[in-house]
Amino acid sequence: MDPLMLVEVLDVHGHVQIRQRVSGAGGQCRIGRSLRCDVTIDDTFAAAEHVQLTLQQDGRVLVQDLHTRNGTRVDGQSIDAENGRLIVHGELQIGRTHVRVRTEEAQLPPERPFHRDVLRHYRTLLAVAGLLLCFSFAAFLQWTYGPDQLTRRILIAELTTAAALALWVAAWCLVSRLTAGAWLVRIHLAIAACCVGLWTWGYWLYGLAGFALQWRWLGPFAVLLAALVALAAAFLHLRHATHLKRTVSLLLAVIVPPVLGGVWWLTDQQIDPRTVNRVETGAQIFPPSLRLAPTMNPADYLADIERLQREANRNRQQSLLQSPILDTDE
Amino acid sequence: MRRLFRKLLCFGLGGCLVLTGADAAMAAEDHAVEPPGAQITPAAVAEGVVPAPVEGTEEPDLAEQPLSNAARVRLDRARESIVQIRGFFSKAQSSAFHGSGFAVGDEGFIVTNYHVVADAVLHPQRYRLEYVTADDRTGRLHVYAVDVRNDLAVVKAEGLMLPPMRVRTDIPRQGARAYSIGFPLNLGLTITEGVANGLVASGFAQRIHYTGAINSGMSGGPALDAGGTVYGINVSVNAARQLVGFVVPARHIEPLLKRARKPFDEALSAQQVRDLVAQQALAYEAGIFESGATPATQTLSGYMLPARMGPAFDCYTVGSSEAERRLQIETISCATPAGVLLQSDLPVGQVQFEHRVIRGQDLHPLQFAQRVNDVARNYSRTGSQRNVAPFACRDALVSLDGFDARISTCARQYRLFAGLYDLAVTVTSINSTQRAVVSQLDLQGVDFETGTQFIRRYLGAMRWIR
Repeated sequence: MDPLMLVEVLDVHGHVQIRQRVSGAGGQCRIGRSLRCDVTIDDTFAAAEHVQLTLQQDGRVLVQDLHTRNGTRVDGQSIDAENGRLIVHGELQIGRTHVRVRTEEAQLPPERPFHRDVLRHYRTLLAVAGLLLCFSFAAFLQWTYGPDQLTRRILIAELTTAAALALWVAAWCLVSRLTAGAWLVRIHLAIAACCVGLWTWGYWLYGLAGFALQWRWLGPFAVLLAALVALAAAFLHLRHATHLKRTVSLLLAVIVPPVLGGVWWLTDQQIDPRTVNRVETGAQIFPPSLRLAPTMNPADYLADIERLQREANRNRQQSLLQSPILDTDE
Repeated sequence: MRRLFRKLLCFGLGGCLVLTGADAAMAAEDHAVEPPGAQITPAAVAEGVVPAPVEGTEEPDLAEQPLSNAARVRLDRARESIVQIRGFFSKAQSSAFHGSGFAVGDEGFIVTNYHVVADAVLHPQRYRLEYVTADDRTGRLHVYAVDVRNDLAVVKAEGLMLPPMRVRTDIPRQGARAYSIGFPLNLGLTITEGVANGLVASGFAQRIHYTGAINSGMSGGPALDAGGTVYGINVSVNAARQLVGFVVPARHIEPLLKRARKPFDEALSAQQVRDLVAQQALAYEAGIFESGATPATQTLSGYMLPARMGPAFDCYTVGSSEAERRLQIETISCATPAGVLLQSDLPVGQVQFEHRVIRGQDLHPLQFAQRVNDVARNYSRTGSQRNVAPFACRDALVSLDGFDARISTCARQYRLFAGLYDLAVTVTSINSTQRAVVSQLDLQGVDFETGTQFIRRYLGAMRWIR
């Protein structure tokens, strides 16, 4: 059987622009800006005749740089202009153009199992559902603040919500367009609206459940929940807006939200001069008819607040470490 | 304004009419200075011009009101005994704070307010104290003793012997003519004339009410009676008050002088001085908290709430209707009159609490709950990062007497005084679809154990009686 070679010129997003098939030992493919080349590329950093690919009897390809100024790289490594390099498959860099070369000898990865991308498939439905969640929560929150000027307050809240979502989605769409070549508006809108909508309603309902069942560690779990939602949103945005691998996207989604949260926390805790005057009044309370679990005994609570002294002392130690009293003569 | 000034004038004239004994003798001396019949208006006192006598009328014009020249005589007599006390930051040449002081006894001691020298007492390596006499002599001052409760300090300068002032330990009767001398706003030695109004009835710390101007910088200066004898020491700590001054009775000087042996910077380390100051503050507070009696309560809209938690507390009740928020709020506020100043911006030993009983008008239970939570959250505390560490908090839904309440207790420790804490308690309870209470208690600069016992009594006195 005659050996075969496939040459594919890729665009910046990795999509195939030109595909050239070469068969038979000794078959050649010349790439450059010249119209006489087999594959003509529009790259000012490439020579008129830049590289020559020759299919060998054993099925491999000999890559030869045609003595160009910028040279040719194969899988990131420059090749020797005199001897060239034999490859089974690889990615060539010619100027700024990437060219993928593969032969029959190259082993194909196994077939990937097909998973329907729910987000991509139901993007319109999810975007609408997410928007409904966001707008309904904004309206509900304004309603709890009372009936006065309700229409005006709801309108302002809805417009604010819409503006915030639009900014966020626009930013991700821009990233998509630049890196993946498509805007993917509905996908990013679905991700943002669903995450925000689920988080806001979830947080409120979680507070209600916390009151009803008397969960004491409401705060840390709420932070954990927020972190999970932020992670999911960041991961999904990255997966659809970039060509990053799944693990890299996950890693970024795990790292970036806590880092941003940490910066916010540090700013809030360290720079805000009102920090020492901040008191926690506790979680929201609701009408007593919504409570299901029993409350705490006063004696237990008073025993608990006696332990506060240790925490207060620890805060003082930290405060003195951060900002020592300079004039002590001990 | 004109009417107020007339009233003040009547006070002044009344005071003049009741001069007796030493007062009368001094009054005679006053008149000996000026030609017979000559009288001085306030403007003339300032400018040194004596106007023509004014014909007496029933309601004479303010500008034409006569004053005796007693003030000038008192000032001339006391001038040599009074110093301005200045505090300097590190090696700075301009002062960071200033006050007044006067000589007492024959050992060269100078008495002033504790709050005037507090920064130098607590941060001896950061601040230095200096004096300036009437004839512009200056030198270093050293602190020998402090009385935080009565806001007094004894200082001394090596080699400085000023003529001591005469001191009386009894309290002038209400309505007696009185004078205060000091250096207000760094404007030079100044005397103001007013009326002593006896001991303040509601105060926990002993203070004489002086109706007259005591401005910033006059703190620590002498308060004189009509005879020119020191009956107390000026205290100027609240710039918001006009012509309501306070004077520490001079009876507290003598015990303090007995304690003045060695300068602090020789005898004690900075930490020992701070411990001493904290102990004095705690001793003051013990008086406020010691009451073991059941606290007086007040009933509002079905809630029985603690009111006067001890003799030092002063309470008032107000009601307000917030139509736009569809709420009616009745508020009981109680507080001890004033704490003591540990340093210029650090008052301690003050307790205040506020109960707000909230009734909703045609609100959905969730809307009412949101309002109540907003009221509970919207309450600010004061404090500087320089003085206090951040709060640590605990909250839970607790069963009180007849109702459940979300109680949040927060505590923070003082950076400079390890034994002192601020405690803040917020009690929030919704007892029916349209009725709730939000109660906030603040204990400032207290011992932790004492504070938690107070909180126990406070929570124990709360009751829902429907």
